Amino acid sequence: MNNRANIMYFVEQFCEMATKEDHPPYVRMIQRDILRIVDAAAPPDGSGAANVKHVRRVLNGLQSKEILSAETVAEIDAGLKERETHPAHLDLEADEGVETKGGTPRGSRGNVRVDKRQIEQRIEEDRERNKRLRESMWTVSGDDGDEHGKFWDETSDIGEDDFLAANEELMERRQMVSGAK
Amino acid sequence: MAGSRRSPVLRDQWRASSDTRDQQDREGHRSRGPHRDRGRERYRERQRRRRPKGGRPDHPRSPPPRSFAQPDNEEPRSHREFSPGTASARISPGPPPSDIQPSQPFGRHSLPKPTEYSDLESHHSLKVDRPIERDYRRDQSPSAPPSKRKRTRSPSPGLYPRHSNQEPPRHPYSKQGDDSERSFPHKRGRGRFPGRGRSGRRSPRRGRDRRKDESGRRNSYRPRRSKSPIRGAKFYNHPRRRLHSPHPGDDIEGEPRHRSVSRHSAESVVSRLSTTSRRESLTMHSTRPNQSAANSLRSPTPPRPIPSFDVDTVRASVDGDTAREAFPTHGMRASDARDSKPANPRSHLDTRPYSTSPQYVTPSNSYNGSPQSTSPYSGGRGGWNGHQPPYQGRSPPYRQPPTGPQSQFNSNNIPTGPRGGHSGYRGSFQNQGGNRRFSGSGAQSYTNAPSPRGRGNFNSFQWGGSGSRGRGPHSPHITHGRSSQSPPPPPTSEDQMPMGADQGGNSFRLSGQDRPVGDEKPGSENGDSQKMLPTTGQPDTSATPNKGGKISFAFKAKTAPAPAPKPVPDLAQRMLAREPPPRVAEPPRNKMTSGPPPKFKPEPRFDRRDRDRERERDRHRERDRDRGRNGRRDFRDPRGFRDPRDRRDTRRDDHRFDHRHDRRRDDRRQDFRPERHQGRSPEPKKEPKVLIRPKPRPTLPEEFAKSDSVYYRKPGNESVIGAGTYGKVFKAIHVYTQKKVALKKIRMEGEKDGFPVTAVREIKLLQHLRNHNVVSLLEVMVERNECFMVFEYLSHDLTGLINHPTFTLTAAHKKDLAKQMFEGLSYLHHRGVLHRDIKAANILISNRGQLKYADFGLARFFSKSRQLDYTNRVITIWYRPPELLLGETRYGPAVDVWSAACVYVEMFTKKAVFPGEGGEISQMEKLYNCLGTPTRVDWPDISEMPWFELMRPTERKKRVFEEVYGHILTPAALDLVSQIFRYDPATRPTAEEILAHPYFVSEEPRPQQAIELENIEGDWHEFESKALRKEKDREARRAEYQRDKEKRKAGTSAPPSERETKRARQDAEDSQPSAQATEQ
Repeated sequence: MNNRANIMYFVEQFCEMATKEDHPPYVRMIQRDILRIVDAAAPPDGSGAANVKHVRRVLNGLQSKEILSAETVAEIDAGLKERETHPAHLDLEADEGVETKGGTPRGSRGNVRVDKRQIEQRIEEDRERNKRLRESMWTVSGDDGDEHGKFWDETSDIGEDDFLAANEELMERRQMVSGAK
Repeated sequence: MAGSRRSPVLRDQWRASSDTRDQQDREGHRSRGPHRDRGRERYRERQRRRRPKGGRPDHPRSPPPRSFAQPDNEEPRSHREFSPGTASARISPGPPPSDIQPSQPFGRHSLPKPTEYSDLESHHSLKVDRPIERDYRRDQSPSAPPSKRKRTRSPSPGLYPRHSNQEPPRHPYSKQGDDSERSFPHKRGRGRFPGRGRSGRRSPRRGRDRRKDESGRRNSYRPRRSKSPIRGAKFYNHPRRRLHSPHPGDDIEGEPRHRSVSRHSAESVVSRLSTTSRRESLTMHSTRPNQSAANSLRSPTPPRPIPSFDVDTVRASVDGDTAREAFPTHGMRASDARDSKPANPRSHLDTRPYSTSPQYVTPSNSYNGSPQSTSPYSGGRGGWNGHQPPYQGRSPPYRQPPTGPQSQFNSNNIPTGPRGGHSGYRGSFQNQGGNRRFSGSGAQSYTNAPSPRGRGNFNSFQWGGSGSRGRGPHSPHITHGRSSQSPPPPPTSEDQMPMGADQGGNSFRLSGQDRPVGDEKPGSENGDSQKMLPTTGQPDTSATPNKGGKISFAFKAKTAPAPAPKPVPDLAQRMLAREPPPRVAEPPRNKMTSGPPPKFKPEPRFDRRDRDRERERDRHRERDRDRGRNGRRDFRDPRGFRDPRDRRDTRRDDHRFDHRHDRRRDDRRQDFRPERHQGRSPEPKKEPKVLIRPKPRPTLPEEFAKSDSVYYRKPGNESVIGAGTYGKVFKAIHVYTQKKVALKKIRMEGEKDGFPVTAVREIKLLQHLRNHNVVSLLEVMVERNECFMVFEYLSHDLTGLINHPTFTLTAAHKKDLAKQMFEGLSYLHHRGVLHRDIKAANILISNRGQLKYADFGLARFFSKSRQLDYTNRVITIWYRPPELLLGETRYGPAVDVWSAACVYVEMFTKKAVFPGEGGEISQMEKLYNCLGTPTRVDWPDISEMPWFELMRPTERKKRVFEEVYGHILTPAALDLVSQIFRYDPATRPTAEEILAHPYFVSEEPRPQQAIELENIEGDWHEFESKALRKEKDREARRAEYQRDKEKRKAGTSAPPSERETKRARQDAEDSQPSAQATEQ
């Protein structure tokens, strides 16, 4: 399961590299087989439910890189939704689930349920992935205009917090002034 | 700069209350006022009345002077603002006004200039008064942020002086032929002023504007200043104004030039000092009045007048028409004022200069002068004498004065001097600008001087010393010359009015003088100025002794008593011993102080306060400026050339003994005088005294003395109070302050990327956090290649307290701790900080029950406006909320709330609420088991959690939390906790909402701080409690288990035995009687 998720992320990197290094055949092959890849990474039997989110993320990434068309991604998304929600239903239905939980949930889970070690490994991998994703989030395009716009958008309106901070600064200054005396 | 700024500000302030009124008034004054002094007076009175009504407290306080100036300004402003030049022309009308008025717009330059100058001067004087008032107000409003106040204050003073300075020069210049230019600046200034004034109204804005103007927009400011003066001039159009203007003009010219110089050199200083200058201006004002009062009241003035007369004559001759014009107007006013008062020509002259000088000169003189004024006078005289010749030699008296100042300034800043000197007419402009700048600088110098006066003249040495001296002399010269001229022309009615104004100014000044504080300040100022003069103003000193020396001494003597509060005796004695004249002057000071105070008592008080504040501030600033030398900086400056070592010694002494320092300073100052005459000998003598006085040296305990660190910690692991992945925490004590601290040693081993970023983040965060519920980072220390974070030390942490063997928290204690916990959390979240590692061990408790969050190693700022992606590998897993367990990376403050609730429940149960086995899965199972399995109703986004598919519950479970804890928690507490322990973070209450819960608001018992902790011996942290557990409890457990087994076998139930036995054992071992008592 974890390897399948990792392969999905590899597909994204692979396509990116192929585009950059001018190897269009690889990209074409991915485009052709993306459905098979998705099916393998997130099988409809429920065992791949945990991978659905990763598959989706990769698909969105491929779409943003113009490797996959929006139609293809939408199509795949629709299929993934079923696979993802299928098990969740049983577990999350508050009242009805009580009776059924003994049946379907267990059955599906029994098959799908991965052992703890795998889960913990997955958790760790996801964290590392998230960490690496955030490593590049501070990069800027180098265009001062864009950077300025970004800062402008990120700047929150002045509010209570600003006054609180200003007040604290004032207190600090007073303290320093009085202390200096 | 300052002047323009100040004036604008003042105007703005005034305007704020009655801009329209002011404008109207101004117009009326301009057109009407010039001829109608009484009308003006009425206006002034009205304005005064209005001002108070306007809601400006400052004005009301200093209404008389301000009212005069302000009303005039205000009234003229409306007109003036529109046609400053005209206004000035109108103002001048008295003598020149008629002609000027018609030609006001165009003729303003030529005619108006003088009038303007006069007006300006008057305005300046008025402004000065106003600033004083404002200053008082500012001072009065101590509660307001000091910085802002200071800034505002300083600007206002600067404005006054600057205006006065600027304006006067302009007048002369305008007279000379620069009128057009001058008029323009005035116009400009007017236009700008309104805006400034408005901005100025608001202290912060004012400060900013002023600062900006000073620093960046000098040119524009100058024009503004000129404008402001013009406005003022318009107001002043009346003879009074004229009177003021002449002096101011002279002063301004000289001052501005000086200022410009000073500014250049001290521009940065000025900018810094802007606040100080403001203060100074305040002081200056006070000082000015003193001077004026001193002059008028004091016989010494006669001598002064003489020099002034000489100067005046010279100037008059030199200046010719321009000088005469300006002077006449000024003289008229001054004379009027003088006439009304003492009527002595000399006194008038003096008063005029003072009054005017205060405005114009005041900036420089007044600041330096008023206190310094005396000295300035002397210095000014000396300067005048020395400078005057040049002035005389130079046809334009104004220019000359500036040159004089320049020379003085030159000591400070030569370049500026040239400017003043260069632009004869333009010079006026430039000078004006320069004056303005100078005013700013002057203000600075003033500030410096005042501060030095007040305490050590630290700054004054550099800036004030030269600038103030130079200014002082200049202004005096101008004033004198003008005064001499003006006296004859002064119309009685006008004179009376001016007198009132002058008196007002004087009164303010006098008040300052009269008032002990003011006296002190002046005295200090005088002393400073004197000292300053001797030290920095070598030329000044020389000059002072020659002509003004006596006068100055007199002033000094007067001033000396004023500052005397601390140093007075020394100064006085020294003064007396050294210079008899000062003694004479002293009585006048007293008289002055005694006389005027009743009139302007409130103002003087303000002045005093302001002055004191200013002094203190100046001192601080000066100290800072002086390279961190305390009071001796001033000494240093004077000595700087003489004895650096001595200064250092004195510095030490000063630190220890402020009074002594002051005395020393005074002595030194006095000494300086003598030194000048005698030499440096006095200083060394004083120094030894200082050395003798030092208190017995504190001795350090042997173990402290042996400590190679400032923070002594016991050897070995004895001092360790905590350990973790971050490193170790030690308990240590500062060997000098005996203050206990916690040293968090930043673990560098295994760091591949250098200094751990987590430590950097923690330091950065803690430096931004100041709250009584957040542990304070005292400093970061690098010692022996190891880095320590130094925290305040708290005796306990919550884990240690919960597991304390003898001490039990009551319900009220727990509620108080919970309250503090959520209060601190509320603070953190308001500040945009996520702690992300809240647990009992990271919550410290002082021995007074004060709770503080610690260990911000995982904390970070979070964005309230956007949902960002953070790592979910945070928070000790037992305290980790479900969303993090399910891999959410876009979380918020709700995670801390969850953790805090866990800690809260732990206070009751003494064990973790959700003690998982260390993994996310088991932890999640714990939650499911206790809180039931979540449904979409509970948590709509649960299926969006990244790891939900990995850790979804295997079977449905019911929520049993309420049942389990219902008997442990009170109903309200249970309700609160169950609200917090919700799966969906969006439905969890915020820390703020929690504090409003009935549990804290209404349910009994009321929170009660656990001050009983004071009675507990020993410190209890997680570390210690752990150690206890490990060492003692294990044995106890074994024994207990055996016993339990035996008991069980025997059929006896002993569930609580473990803890009790542990406690008992611990108690016995620890021997904590108080704690035991409390437990049982």
